Amino acid sequence: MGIAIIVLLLVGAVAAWVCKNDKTARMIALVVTAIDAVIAVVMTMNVSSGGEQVIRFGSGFIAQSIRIGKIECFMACIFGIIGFLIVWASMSMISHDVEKDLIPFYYFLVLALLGTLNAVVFFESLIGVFVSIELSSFAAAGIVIVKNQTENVHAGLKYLSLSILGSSLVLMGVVILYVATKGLDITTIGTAIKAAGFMGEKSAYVIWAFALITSGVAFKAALFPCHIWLPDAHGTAPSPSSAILSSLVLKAYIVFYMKMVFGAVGFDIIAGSGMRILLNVVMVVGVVAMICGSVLAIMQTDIKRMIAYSSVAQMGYIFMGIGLGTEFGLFAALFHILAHAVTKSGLFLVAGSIIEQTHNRDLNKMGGLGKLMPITMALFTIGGLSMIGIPLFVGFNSKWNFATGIVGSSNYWLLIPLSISALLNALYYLPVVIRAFFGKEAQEITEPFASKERPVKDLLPLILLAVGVVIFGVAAGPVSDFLHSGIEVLSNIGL
Amino acid sequence: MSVLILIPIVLPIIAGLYMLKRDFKERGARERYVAATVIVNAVFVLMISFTLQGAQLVLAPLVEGHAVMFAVDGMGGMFASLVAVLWILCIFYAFEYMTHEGGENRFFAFYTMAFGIMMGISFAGNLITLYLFYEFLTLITVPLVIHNESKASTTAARIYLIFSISGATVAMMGIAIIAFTGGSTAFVPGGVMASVTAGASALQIAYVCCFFGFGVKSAIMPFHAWLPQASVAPTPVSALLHAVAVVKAGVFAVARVTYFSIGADTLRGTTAQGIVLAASLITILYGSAMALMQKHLKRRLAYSTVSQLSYILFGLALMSPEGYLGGMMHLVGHAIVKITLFLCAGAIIYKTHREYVWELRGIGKKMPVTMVVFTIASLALVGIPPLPGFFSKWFLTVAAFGSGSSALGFAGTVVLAISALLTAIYLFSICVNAFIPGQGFDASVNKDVKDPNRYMTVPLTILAVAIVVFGVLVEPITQLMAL
Repeated sequence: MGIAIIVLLLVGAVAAWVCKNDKTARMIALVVTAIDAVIAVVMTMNVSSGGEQVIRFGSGFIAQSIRIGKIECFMACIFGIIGFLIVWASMSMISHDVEKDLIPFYYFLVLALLGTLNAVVFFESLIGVFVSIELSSFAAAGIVIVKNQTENVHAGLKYLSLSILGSSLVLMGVVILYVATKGLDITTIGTAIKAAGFMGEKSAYVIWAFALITSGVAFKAALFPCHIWLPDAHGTAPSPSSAILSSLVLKAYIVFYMKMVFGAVGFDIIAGSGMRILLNVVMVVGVVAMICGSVLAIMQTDIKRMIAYSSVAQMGYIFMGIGLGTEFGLFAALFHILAHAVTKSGLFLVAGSIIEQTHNRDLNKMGGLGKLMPITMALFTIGGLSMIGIPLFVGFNSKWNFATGIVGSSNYWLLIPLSISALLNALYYLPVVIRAFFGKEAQEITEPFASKERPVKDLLPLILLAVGVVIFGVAAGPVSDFLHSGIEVLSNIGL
Repeated sequence: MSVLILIPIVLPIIAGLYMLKRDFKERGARERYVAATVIVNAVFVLMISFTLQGAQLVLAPLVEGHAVMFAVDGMGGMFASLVAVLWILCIFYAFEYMTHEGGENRFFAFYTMAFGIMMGISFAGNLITLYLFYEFLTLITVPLVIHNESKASTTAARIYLIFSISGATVAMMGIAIIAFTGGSTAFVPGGVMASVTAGASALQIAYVCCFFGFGVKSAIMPFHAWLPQASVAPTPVSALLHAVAVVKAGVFAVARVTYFSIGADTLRGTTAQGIVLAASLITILYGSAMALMQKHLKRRLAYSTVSQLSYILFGLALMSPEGYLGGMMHLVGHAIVKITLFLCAGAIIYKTHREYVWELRGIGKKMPVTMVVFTIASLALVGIPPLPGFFSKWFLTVAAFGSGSSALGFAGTVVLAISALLTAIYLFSICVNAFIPGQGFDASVNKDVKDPNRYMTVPLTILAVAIVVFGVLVEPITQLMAL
């Protein structure tokens, strides 16, 4: 079924493109992503009762394999459901940003991107992963450039070049691993690395390979200071694209990285080898990203750039969790992938709605907006509170997981940056909310009593995302259990 | 039956949300609605506090292994009852006072919702639940601070929010350590950490995190700056929230962590205890000294609150049953006294629009009820027997000397004495000036001044009587909160 998702999305992509009609393309995208979401959910239910499976095809150098495990299905659900909601929201928003003629091409790119992201996650053979990573880079840059403005073209090219730099670093790492282990898929590599004595004899190879893969992923997933493409790309892209880029695209590469580090190497070897040093570096850089991303976000006056810098900070959280190198850390990082995906996609779509309705991107001119667009600003408030980590919203569960993960890994000092980071989040989200509900500027520049609210039927996907923020905030139990068992499976790869 | 605990938490929240939607146009209808909600709720609170002692209600888990849980015990029940009774008095006062501030509908909606949140804090059965309501208390009171939407109040609200939320985050880190080290965040008298000795240093970190994190709301130095700023809020907010509910929620949380979660026995004699004792003593002196220097009446009272709250924290940080009892007595006593002082200040502002201390010369003859009540409350706060302040300070001093305390305990007695002197100066100077304006005073400036109407004077008189009666009753009442 993993293959079915990928094939479905790619076929849908081509169909959307060849239909040459913007209305048909929208419908195709909506239906295809809906089917994708359903398949992902069914697959997840199968896996949680039946366990994982590996499908192999081809032979020799081009032999490929796909792993349908719990972590993979978790990601497929995020891609499927959140992707569907974003595409749904884009139905009413996209014509604001993309010319009519380009809309079929836009949905081709979106569906192709979702397909390749699923492939990045599902492929177990590294050649397949690498090809998918490359293809997704082009599609991702495409949905930035498609807005067809000078700034978009610049941002997209910057994104594409750094993305390809990242992929090349990953490729070099993969090649070194191949030389050392003679394996081209995660299981074979894992078996070799976990064999007795391997990490003594060839540990230098493995650590160099992982250093290269880490730096490559750092570019792909915008780990500070390799984030320089992100604010431009996410800030200028059409809002549905920004939502896809921040909540889905970044995550695929991170999950690939997690599978490499915790699947192919595993917790036990990490704890007692040079990998620990590498992960310490990842952890410290993650902490720096948490703080710097937020500080940069505070300095922004453009709402979308602010949210984009906030993503840089959130990627820092995830890398910090990975850097802990323990099950607690990995669990916190995986859960944060979900928390950030649900929250951040909502925030970008809200920002898009605000810009669409008021033609204003300047945060300082949003005073009183809460009275003009009460539902939209309420959704922004929910997103902001979740990012800060207020209980009942999913961000709190994430913050709690990170805190207990840090305590469980006995790195108490990390509680300090974690607290500072929550404070910084409050510093840029709350003033916007206060100004919107208690300020007056925006009301003065628009005519009195004019409602700028979008119709509720257009806001419905945004509302559903906010409902998701609350649901995962109050009932995260099943997801947590699923992830815990997924981590157990992952750490046993190759044994 | 334990399901009943939910009623006083949920009822005001629903009632408040309904007000936001309904938007009462007529004053009478709104007042009947709000008064009915608050009184019915207070009755529920009193019933639950006194008849359901020991009841527990466990809801769904909020994070792995830690459910939202409510429980009624002596401390929570007494705190809830205190807040509920004071809420009734304040709501009637606010009906009159808010007519000159406007925007009453939103005000009373959030004022009522805050009642429910406070009950959530009082009846919280574990740290996670406490933390949940603690965060929402911050959020729900922001519209009250910001009420008149001026620049000053927006700034005050922003500072309040950022201080409180970061404090809560730091406290959450402490809670995470407690949850991970001890495995339980439930409240048990004496604490749940008796068996944990290996992680003692982790628990000390956790305690310091919780003390200063929750301490932000009770204005511990150096995190006190938001409280004097927030005195721009309407007086019913300053009185009820910034002298009782919000600030004492911080103290209450510290008491829960100290005596019901980590446990005083685990913490006694540690470095962590030294740190928090020192911080509370510094805050006592600093608050009193700053209060003396304020010329703005509400700011003077706010700094006085900063100082007085740390009396309670000092008592709690002594880590002994006597210290706990002294702290709790001061919690109750200060609540009644300080709310009275603020309501008097509000009455003066309401009738005369005078906000500065020097403008109050000779006002006592024109506003006798207000100023007599103010004087009684001042005497109580300074600690003149047999008023409540005397007994709490007595117990605090005994606790500071007793239980083989450290040098900081002895230093505490000196600090309490100095602070009492400062308190006497900054409060009595107002009372004396008000009644004895001195020679050469031009009485014509007070020509049009008179006491406010019944809505205000009746609650003030009730409070004055309560202060006098309470002096005698404070010990038996506090015994109900004993560990």
